[in-house]
Amino acid sequence: MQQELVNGVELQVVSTQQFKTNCVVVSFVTELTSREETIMRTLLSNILETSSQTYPTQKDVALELSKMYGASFGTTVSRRGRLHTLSFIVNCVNDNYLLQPENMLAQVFSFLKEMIFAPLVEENAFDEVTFTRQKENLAAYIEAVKDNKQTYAALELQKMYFDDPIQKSAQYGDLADLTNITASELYSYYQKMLQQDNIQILVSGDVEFADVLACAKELSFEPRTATKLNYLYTQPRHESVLEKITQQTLNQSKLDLAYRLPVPYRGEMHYAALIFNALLGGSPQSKLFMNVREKASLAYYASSSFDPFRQLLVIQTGIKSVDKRRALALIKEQVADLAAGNFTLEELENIKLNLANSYESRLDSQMTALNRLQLEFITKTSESPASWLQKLNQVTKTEVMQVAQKVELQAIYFLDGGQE
Amino acid sequence: MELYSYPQFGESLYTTILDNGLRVNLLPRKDFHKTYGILTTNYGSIDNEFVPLGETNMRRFPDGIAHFLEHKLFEKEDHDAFDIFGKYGADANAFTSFTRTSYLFSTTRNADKCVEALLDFVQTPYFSEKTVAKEKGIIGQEIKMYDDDPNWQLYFGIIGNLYPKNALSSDIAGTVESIEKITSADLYACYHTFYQPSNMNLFLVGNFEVEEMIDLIKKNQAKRTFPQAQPIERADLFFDPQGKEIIPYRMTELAVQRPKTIIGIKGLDILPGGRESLSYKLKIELLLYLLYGEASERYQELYDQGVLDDSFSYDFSLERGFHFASISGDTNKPQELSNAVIEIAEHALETLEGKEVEFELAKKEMVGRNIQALNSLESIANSYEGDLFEGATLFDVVPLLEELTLRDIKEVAQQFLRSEAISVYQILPKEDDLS
Repeated sequence: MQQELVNGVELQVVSTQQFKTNCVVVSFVTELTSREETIMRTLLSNILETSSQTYPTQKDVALELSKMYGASFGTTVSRRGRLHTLSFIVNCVNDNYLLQPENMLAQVFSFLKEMIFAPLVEENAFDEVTFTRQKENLAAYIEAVKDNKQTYAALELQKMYFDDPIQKSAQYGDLADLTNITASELYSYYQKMLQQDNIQILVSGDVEFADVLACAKELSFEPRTATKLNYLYTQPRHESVLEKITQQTLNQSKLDLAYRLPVPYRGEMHYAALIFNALLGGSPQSKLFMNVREKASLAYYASSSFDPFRQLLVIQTGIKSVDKRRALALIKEQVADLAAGNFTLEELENIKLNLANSYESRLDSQMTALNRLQLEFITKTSESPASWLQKLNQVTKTEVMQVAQKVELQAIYFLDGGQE
Repeated sequence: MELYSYPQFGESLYTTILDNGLRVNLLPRKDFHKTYGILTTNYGSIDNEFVPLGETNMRRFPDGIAHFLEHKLFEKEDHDAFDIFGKYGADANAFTSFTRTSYLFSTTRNADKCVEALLDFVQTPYFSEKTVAKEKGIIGQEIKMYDDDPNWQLYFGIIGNLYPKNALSSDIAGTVESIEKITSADLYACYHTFYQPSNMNLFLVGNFEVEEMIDLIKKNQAKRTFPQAQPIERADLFFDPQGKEIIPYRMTELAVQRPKTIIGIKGLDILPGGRESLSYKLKIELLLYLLYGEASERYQELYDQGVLDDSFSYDFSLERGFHFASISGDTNKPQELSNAVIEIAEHALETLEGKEVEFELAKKEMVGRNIQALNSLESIANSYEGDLFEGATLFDVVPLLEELTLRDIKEVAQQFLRSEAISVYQILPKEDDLS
């Protein structure tokens, strides 16, 4: 069930007995206007996760959560196309499974109210000590990403491929923007976010709508202008393929490719694009997995992923430095094969079945089932499971070929580990 | 079939041992779309020295062979087992740990066919010199990937300190050199010894009918004949009651952004076995939570001093033959962090004194976390450890937790936290870092 609490603030409740927990997600959604905003929201999410007026330290937050039977609480940030979402998430045991019921739902909402509306603030600025500590920790976290070579290569590719500074930066933002943020600036940004962002409150569990509604109203969000958000980012097409090589001393090299794939989200070709990606490198039955990893023994991992909000297809592989040319040729061959229709109807049907399986499996996780509803909220699209499955099944071989013919290689990044 | 009911959670577990020795656990969850199945053999990377089935003497096999076997079992003479699951739309996978090898599938359709496919492919090995040679390239890449992962290096660094020269300290996948020696005859010898049904269990959880499922499994197993179940003789790897083998400190330099430190505590005590071992594990988890958890005083102090941050974590491993704790973090003050962690361990008893309130809260949290884990079919099935905990499941954990007292935690601290059992391993940034 769904209800607009005040203008721009929506409550959606999924009553289900499938899970032993209740899950509450409060999301703040906005269209990003600058690169700086990205890291500000990441820093905000870290500060708001670890402190409030009543619970000024992590220790206090942790103790409060253990009183709620170890309810898990966290904030997350995600970027989909142009949109940024900062979410507060709490997962707690449903009263039905406790020896003594304690009205966990009400406890969770009053906890959330504290964390969202009573941040640790003095004189219109975040507490300086907490602010500085979280800023240092975030800087250290971002530096440490360089140690994960697979992620590092993917980020370098993204930086090359996009023109737009927001899209170039990592999901958590750019380290260069962190230094100058002040505690008072961040606090005024937070005030703006509280007042202006589109808000969705999602609750799943064995709960009554009326009970949830009463709790959610307690959060007392102000009405706001519900803006129609534009999630889609389209990167202009470039004539030539960009190439970049970085040398490091590593045991394994990384070869990553970015392709432009202009297929609108939930548009006519959307489902064919999902199938194309799964056939190319999105499953163990895929061309990349079977031909690059298994048959040619060229890679430990070789996979593809499709980002419909930015119309980007990325291929990631881990290979030996000396195999770069062979791997590149073989990858290109896999894309060309799909465009030429070199796949059987049986392969197509198997992939459909596999995608249907993943889709249905996601409904078995409380959090991913809620993610689906969050996505519907931010994109203002909706698709019932039955209709989703039907549209998937209707995709023809020709449509998959048409999608494959649309992809265009734009950037190649090689993290050359040397050695051998 | 035996039925165990857990009214607090509204769950029923059906369990039986088939004539061929295979243990089968069935847990129906009708409100889920998915069925998850996992077939496990009590055989992992440390089981490299044993008496092969039908032989009389101990033999040593190359490091990484259990993991190699896991990879090779998917490949058959004329097809790949992945393709069969693919045909049913299912996901399949496998993993090897120190003491277990597991094969699994997850599906929302064709669960019955997937169960058969799982049993069929694991129980019909096909190894040839040609396919073995090809696999060496793939696994070689996998090993190299782990060589570039500093957290993996850190973890194996501390295991190397606690269990030097022991099979436990070798990478689960082996080394490029060790896997080079593997032959198809080796794989068959390991397979026949450790893949006897009596050394294995099948755990199914999800959307299926119990009666139909057990019939199908029995019929499937009747298709094949197995030799009489034989006891397995493994070399005794773990004998170090005084902790004399432990290397107290080592460090290495790698291209990392910040120093990493890990403190290991080796269990020198002999565990009681069965459910009592599970209870021991829960006690140690509570102990570590009280000493190093986010709700502890010292955590907050060290956090405020910038000695630790969110990368700090602790872990306790208890498997067949060994148990140890590890506490680690990335920090610019590695020495301060290791010193603090050791000091906390050495003063554990004083710290625990009068902590009744904190203990009750910790217990409450653990109870809640365990109930939360019941949402995940994978967690329920993967956490089943067979004989190690006398067939206990996640449903048995909450009652065990409820009966624990602070006194139990103090006792276990005294037993487990011994100064001579502590070691430190550090990874420091390389000076000539090119990144």
